[in-house]
Amino acid sequence: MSEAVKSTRFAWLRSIEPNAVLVKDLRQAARNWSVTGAVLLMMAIFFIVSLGFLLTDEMAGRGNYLGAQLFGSIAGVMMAVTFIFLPIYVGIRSIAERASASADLLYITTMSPARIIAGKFLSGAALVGIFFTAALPFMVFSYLLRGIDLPTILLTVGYLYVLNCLLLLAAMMLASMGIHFIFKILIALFVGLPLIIYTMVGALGTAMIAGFGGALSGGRFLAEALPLILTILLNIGLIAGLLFFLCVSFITPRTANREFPLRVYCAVMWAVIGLEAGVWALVEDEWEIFGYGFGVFCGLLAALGIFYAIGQEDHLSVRVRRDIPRNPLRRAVAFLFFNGALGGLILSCLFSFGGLLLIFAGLEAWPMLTGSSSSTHDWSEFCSGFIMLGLYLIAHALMSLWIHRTWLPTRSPMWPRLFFLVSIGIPYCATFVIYYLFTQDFLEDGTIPGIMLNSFYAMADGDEESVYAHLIAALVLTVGALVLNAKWIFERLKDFKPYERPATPVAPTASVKAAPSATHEGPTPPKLD
Amino acid sequence: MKIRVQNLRREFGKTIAVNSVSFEFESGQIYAFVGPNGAGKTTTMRIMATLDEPNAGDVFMDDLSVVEYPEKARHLIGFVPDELKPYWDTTVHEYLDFFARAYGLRGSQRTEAVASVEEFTNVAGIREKTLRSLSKGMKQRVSLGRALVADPQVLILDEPAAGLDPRARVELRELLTLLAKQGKAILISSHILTELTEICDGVVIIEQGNLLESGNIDDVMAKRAPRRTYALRVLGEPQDLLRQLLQTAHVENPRVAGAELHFEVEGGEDEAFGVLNTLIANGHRVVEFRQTKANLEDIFMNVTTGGVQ
Repeated sequence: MSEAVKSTRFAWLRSIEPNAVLVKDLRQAARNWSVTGAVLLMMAIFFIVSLGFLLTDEMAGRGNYLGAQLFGSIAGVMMAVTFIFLPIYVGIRSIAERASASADLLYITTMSPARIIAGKFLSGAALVGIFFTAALPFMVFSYLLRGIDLPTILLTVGYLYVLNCLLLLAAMMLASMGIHFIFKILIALFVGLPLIIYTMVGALGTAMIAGFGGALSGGRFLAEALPLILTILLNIGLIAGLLFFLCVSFITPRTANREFPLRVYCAVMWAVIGLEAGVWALVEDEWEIFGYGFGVFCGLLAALGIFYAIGQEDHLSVRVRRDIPRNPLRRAVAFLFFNGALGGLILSCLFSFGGLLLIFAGLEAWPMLTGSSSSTHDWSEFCSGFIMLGLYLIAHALMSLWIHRTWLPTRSPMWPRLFFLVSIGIPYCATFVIYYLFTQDFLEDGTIPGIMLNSFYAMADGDEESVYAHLIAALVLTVGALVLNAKWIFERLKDFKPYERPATPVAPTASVKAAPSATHEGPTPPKLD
Repeated sequence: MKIRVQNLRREFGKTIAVNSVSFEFESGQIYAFVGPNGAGKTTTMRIMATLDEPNAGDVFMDDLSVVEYPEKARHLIGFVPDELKPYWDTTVHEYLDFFARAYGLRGSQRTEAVASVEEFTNVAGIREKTLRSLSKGMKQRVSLGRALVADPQVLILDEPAAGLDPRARVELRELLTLLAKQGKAILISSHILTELTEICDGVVIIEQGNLLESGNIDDVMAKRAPRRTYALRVLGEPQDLLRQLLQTAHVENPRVAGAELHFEVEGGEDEAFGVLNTLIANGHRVVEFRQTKANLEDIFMNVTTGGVQ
């Protein structure tokens, strides 16, 4: 092949433009002393550990397992550095950039928020790759010492890499949130750090103890390990996607239709998880995998969705209205996916109750599909518990919105989230304390209808009467909350209409007004310029 | 290109930051956007730069609505904030290159654009320095370079001269004049009004969110500063002349300004000629007599009340 032909064939490679944020972040990382220092420190530790293994009597004592032992130590050190350092590094940089005016400058470029987040994520993933590459010579060395096979090394490294990327996304999501940085630090300390430690311990346990290498040997791989690995990868991918779209939603300006990609993704995720649970149920011939697996997922998604949705603004900007369809049917669907608390609330309810409906439809169809009986369990208990919790959540969400609108309308739209948590937690704690004060005993009786957290006792005991009492209470609360919010719901539905451009633009005039008097009456507002 | 700000209104809770503000300017013009602190300048500029959305009104770039199509408008706008918050560990060249990439410039087009703005803003010599190590003036040059890298047709500068030393201010002024000559429409807010007078074609004055005045600077001056101001230089002590001027008909507010005397003349050019004639007739050795442009600062003080919200 001539040079000219080769050059033409690969010419398209030169036209590939890497993500701008990826390039910037990698340049910054290359110049940052903390990144270079962490890599050097990690390599120094690897060297000392490897040397220690060779110089001490470990080599004689462990014989054929020395390679595995050394690999375990190297993987442990690598995880300790990359799982902790990199999420902190990426998170802090993202917080700093988001907090400064530079973020504004970036937003007025033609880069979309999705590309910004993708660039940040890719640069983080590249940094993980650099750290992992630094560990590569030592891993090869551990392989040469024997006691561990190549597939185990590759799968473990791949698994750790994927988890590390997931942690990066979680750090980016926290950094992107529109909350005060003190809250971000608190969340990082009390949620992020335990999550990292748990992931590290879990990862080491899964990778090393389960022994991927063993699963790869013989005919077990295709039948057992591969479906499991694919399922784990799919679920990690889905979680990563959710975190990614949350980041995108958090950094997208409020005037844009920031909820749309996130809600569409949630709908896709809901469908994929349902499909995945269905396939596993069919493969394993166990209806419960679908019923419980999908049911629990739907419940979780709905709970998180409701919590997230009630923190949304009602105001629809011109940019959002611009995209509202004129067709009534399409508009109804758009209402669920566009910005706004009510749409998100309804969509979350559809995820949960739609899931429940699918579970019961599947329950009926299962014998026809498989020829075996669908389930030996009594699903009515699951059903009543599911509906009860769903109704409680809706009632608390609507009440929180009503409190915010009625008492603190000028406060941030995120306040209902706080009311939501408080309205669930306070009644439970209060009754718990009062019960203890009067009876000198702990509250374990599940018959205090109207208190959501109390209903878990009833479900755990399998006390049918108590569950029904809670169900009725939840229903009454929901109806009450709906009545209180009826006007708001009606207004939101009525307000969701396409943008009507002003008929004729008024010719601009230098509308000279008399200078206002120096004694400006009214409230003293914040300094704006 | 014509930029039309039309009945813009922005509320923050109960505060009306911008109240039905309308003005317009076009390519090749520099418009000064002046007003006291809290007048609503930054809010208006942020709306124009697609960083905020008004409660009512719109901004049009020709026929393109900035509120409705901010994605398209961003191709046309360059925004320079009052201060460049540098990215960590980034050199001048990397910073400009990053924004060129962010604006979608590719390959040689990007290389040329970055080299061009580096040369134009005179930062080519410091392109390998990190942003943190730059002086305020140099940072503002880089900031201007960033805004220019995608060759926008409209430049919005929010207090770009704040904190700059006199030399840097003069250089910034020269750059802006050049840009206007290249056909860019420029809106600049600044507190250093005397400097704006020399480069601006028009002025927009707001206070407490309300538009007080807008239009061509000469028209505004004619309207808001009806007396003509003259500068006079004579051989000898100006104090002697000052006494004479105080007694001369049509002369108002005479004052010594360095080696010159400044005074206002009530009436037109006939009255000004009369004043000059009287001075010469009385034996004063006049070597310079010229009409000075009214200062934007004078108009600003004349128009605004100093009220804040």
